[in-house]
Amino acid sequence: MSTEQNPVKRFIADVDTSIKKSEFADWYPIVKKEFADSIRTRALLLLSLLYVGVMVFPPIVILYTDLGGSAQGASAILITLTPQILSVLVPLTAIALAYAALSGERQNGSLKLLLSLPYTRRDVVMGKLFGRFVAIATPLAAVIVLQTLVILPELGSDLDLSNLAALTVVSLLLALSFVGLSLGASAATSTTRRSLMVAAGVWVYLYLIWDRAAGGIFTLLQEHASVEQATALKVELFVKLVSPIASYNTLLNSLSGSMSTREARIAMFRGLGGLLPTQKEQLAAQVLQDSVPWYLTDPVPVVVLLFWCAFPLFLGYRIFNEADL
Amino acid sequence: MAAIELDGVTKQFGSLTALQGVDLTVEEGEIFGFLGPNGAGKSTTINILLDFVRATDGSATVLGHDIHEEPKQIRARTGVLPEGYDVYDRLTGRQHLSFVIESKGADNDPDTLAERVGIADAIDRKAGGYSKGMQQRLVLAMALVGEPDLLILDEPTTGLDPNGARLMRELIREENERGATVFFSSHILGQVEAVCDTVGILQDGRLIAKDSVAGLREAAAGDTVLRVTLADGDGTDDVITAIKGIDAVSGVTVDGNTLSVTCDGDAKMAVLNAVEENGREVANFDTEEASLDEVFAAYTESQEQQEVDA
Repeated sequence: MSTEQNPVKRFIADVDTSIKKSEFADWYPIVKKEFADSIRTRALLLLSLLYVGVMVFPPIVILYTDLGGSAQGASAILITLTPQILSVLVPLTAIALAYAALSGERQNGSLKLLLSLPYTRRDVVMGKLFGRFVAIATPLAAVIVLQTLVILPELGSDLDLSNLAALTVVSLLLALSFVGLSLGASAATSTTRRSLMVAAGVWVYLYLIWDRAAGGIFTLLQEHASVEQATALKVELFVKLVSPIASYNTLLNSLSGSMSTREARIAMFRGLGGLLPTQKEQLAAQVLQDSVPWYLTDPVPVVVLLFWCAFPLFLGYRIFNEADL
Repeated sequence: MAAIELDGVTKQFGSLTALQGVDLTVEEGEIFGFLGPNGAGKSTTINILLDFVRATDGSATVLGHDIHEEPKQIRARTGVLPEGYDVYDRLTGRQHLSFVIESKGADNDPDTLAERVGIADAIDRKAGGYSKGMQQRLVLAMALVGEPDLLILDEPTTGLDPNGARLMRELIREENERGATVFFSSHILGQVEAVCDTVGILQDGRLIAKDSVAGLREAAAGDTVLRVTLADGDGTDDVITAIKGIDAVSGVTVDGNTLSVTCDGDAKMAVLNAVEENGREVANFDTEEASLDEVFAAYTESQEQQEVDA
């Protein structure tokens, strides 16, 4: 069987065999099928081009044409800007690629072929989750590497590898969150239209409402419930942190080495996508001066990101499992 | 052990009752034709067997496994051609077959399977570009993966040309000879008549008949129409009286010198004898056996009649 000479192919074959023998074997073929299918979609191709357009070409313009200023200043801007861009692009990519994963198959009937095979509905959901995640993770990781390669000649030894690793890992975690979220929406609904409405609706809500609601809670608690200002602020910070997008940004700040955990949480109060200092930021700096409470430490955003994958997926699965197809 | 056993299966979609207490046993090794007009509940029954749809009441087992508790064990040993499926447009025929082979842990060769259903030359093309008939052949090949003990085929000849339909019948016979039980649904009698051992007729969510093909034909008010042309058409009253005197005869009509006698299939000789005993000469006779189509119509109409009476 494995008389394959090419070491890469042999390695892939070995991984393939070991996964087949593991506990993931139940749904592993679905992962492969999903990956093979998604990687051929036009949506993924377009989104990959978008990644390149946003992440790779602008640095080339800034660093290697007259337009940009000093290389150091330019790369500093890039390092701040990249997470901002990804925090928008990654959720949208994940939604675009996963919202129809189940409802689409249900709508056109290919789900019947899938469920005629020895899979439970749970196997199907799990296989889809990982298949779609890998399909998104591949271009995402590739474009981060590509951007680094583009910046490398100018940055040289200034390149911070831990920064790069943090960016990659946390971005993948954000992708997982939104794949889980939109797959949950896909599982819970019977048409792609409805799944898109649910998934995109949650995204818009998180973007437009969540952060502001957190600010409103602060005012409400402080002015109308006579809660101490420091407590109200910690509550606001925690509520903010429960959004996967806020969690992504602040986790990236504290893991990339440019900020401490404390600074990263305080920076959550910055306006204009982390660029504009605000009054609340100063207040937060006072409140968190001595210590950062456990519910604002780094493991919390990690849990938040995983929660946004697992909880909608679990709810969606429960509905899907009872549904008549 | 029965391959399929339904016990009082009822399914309601909102206020619509799709199935009403269906009891059905399909024995191992038989080819079972599941017959009924469109909308009778055939696909709902199959969807319940595959756990796509959950029964409101009643229970069922397939290959000895409860349909809701152990669907995975059932699917591991069953090949399915579902109704209203769609293939994965972006994947090739080979990718489809390899996926099924891997999913079932089987060791079939995709090329051999494609050959069996006649799509060998298209196996490396994307299935989205296949014609409806080719997609049907592909899904049939997928159903054959792993030599399943049971084949469940929902309207398998839909979208197939006559050659395809013949191939389907051949494959059904081959698989049955190998030892597989075949359960397939159709609203076309010719398909069922040609290959089935046993037929079940479903109408308005109820199983109104289950019998062998021959048995059904006999049971459906059975009747053979015997047309006797007399050499001389005058004064047929005596003959008619004599024929009506035979127990197995249910009716006689006269048209010129032709008598049309509706009777049980085995009463034909008695009728002809009665004609000759009355001194008449038979110039010609032929018989017309009820086709399964008429059987089907007779069954479904009598069912409707009972409903009106009730």
